[in-house]
Amino acid sequence: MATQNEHEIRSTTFDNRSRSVQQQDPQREHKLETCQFEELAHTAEVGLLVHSNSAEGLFACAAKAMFVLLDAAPAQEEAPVTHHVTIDSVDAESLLVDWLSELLYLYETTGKLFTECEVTMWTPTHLEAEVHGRAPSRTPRFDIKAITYHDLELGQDERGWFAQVFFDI
Amino acid sequence: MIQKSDLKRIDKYVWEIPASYRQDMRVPARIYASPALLEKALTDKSLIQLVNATTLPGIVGYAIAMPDVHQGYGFPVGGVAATRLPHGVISPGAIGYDINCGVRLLATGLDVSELAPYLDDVATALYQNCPSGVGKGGRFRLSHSELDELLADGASWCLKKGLATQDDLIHTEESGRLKGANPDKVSKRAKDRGRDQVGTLGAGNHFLEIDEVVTIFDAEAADAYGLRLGQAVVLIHCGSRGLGHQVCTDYVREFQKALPKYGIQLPDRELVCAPLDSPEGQAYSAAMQAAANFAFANRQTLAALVRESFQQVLAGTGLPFDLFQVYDVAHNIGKIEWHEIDGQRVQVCVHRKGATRAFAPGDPEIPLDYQDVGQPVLVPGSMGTASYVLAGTRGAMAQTFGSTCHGAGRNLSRTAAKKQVRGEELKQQLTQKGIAVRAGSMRGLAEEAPIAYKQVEDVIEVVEGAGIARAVARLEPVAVIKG
Repeated sequence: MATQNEHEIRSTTFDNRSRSVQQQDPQREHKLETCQFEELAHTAEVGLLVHSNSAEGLFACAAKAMFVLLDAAPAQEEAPVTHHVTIDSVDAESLLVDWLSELLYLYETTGKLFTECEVTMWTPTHLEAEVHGRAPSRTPRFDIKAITYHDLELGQDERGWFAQVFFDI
Repeated sequence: MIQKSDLKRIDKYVWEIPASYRQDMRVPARIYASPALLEKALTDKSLIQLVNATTLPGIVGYAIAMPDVHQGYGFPVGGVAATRLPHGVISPGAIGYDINCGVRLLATGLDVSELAPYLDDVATALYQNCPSGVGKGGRFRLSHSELDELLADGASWCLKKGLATQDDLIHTEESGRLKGANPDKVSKRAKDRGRDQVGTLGAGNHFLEIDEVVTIFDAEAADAYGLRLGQAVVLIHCGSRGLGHQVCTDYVREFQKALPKYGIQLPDRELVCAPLDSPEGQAYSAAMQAAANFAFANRQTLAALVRESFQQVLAGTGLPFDLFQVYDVAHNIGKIEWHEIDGQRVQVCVHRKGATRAFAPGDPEIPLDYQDVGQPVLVPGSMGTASYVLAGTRGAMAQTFGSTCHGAGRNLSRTAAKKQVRGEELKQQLTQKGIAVRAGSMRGLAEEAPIAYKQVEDVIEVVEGAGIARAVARLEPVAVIKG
């Protein structure tokens, strides 16, 4: 279980957003994926504690949470751009870092916020996803320099799957 | 967590965690701190990260924490570690994501009192001409070949483009160009992220300030640096932007695969590393140097935009508007240097993450006009508070691989800072103190509030007291430009 007590935990208080989002996964009919996350403060960075009921849901939720942290409100009126993402990594923790790094790269080079992601295939070392990005409707809160391995955790607990990840900002 | 009782006091400002503290330590760890700063360092993971750094293969001497140390990721911010060539390792995490984040000091021929009637206009011109803020690109969007040239040539690229003078290059660490850079080792992704970012400040703790020289501590050094009481000077703090961040990300990823190949075991994956003489280590070194060159070119281009801004406002007033460069230093970098260890000259890779090179008088690496006084060290305080110009010393060469502090050091998380102060309030307070503030984001302003940082004076007291730098001048801001 993530060592929550080592960090100051702050509830997300972003406008018009719920901290718990239920997403319908088009690839797995009748299965609802949950997405819960909270922001973790750290002296030099900012982090996330993310929960979902599946590994696929966890990765999609971590992506959503990363962009929600930016508080830039994706413009809903425009059609999203879609990218297909495939990632291979040495292990599941690296897969999470590499996945978020890929989305950060896409964000930095397209200017789109990829808050909606469908993870269509997941193993501990391989991931495929369709990611949908929309332009921000206001200035993002900060630049994310990178996704770090600092206090990185990924695993399963009584609530399902969880991950803790910190960003260098 | 490490306790104070685990530390041995070596000197008034030097503390040691012996190599016996943990079985995997290869060398002891040393912390430069006053008792009060040490207490602060004990409250987060700074010192355990420092102990972890002592496990890097090939590390020599000590892993060192500066008085402005705070918890980083893998390696503490305010940390120094030297690894022996050829087989010692190079660690991207011990250099940081913002490769060659650094500081540049430009000096005007004006007193602040002369500049005062034009200060608001100059601040506005700086804000308009020097792009800052989240996701901001600059006025230059480089082609593939131009970007490769810039990565190979650093600040020299700016000289060719008319954005630098020869004198600027002379007064830049490494003359603004690391010769081992290889643009081919920088990924397309990194180049994509940085292509339109040369000449931009970015956000976070990066800033541009007009300062007044309010105190001279060392008249000889100040004179050599061209500094005098009342003078208006400009500080620029920024780094290699998205390009450098991606270079670090790429090689942290690559090195995860390389660890088993070299049988390296580490207590923290963010410290991932590869031998300097391995293909992986060589590739990262060449890419990191290219990113460092990007940062030198970035600050150089910003210097050109600063000059343009002063000229824009002051031309025709009869006041001098040119600025000369005092110096430019890196504080997140890995450098191949020679140092004396146990009486022997040894070639090492000095990792400085949140630490500044501070070479002593007489060192061939520093400009001729600074030979008698030592290398300038630029230490920005928190926004709206004082900054310092220091000089490198023989004490730094003997104790800390020619390194000293880099700033005030964070004290509070951004969230905690924001809880204690509102951006608008802070802007008002700064304005009441006579500081012109141009900031794109009030939220960003609050996150960088002085309350989020340690007192820079406490840090300076330690580096002076320990003899790893000498105070030359104190600067106070009259204008702050932030994203």
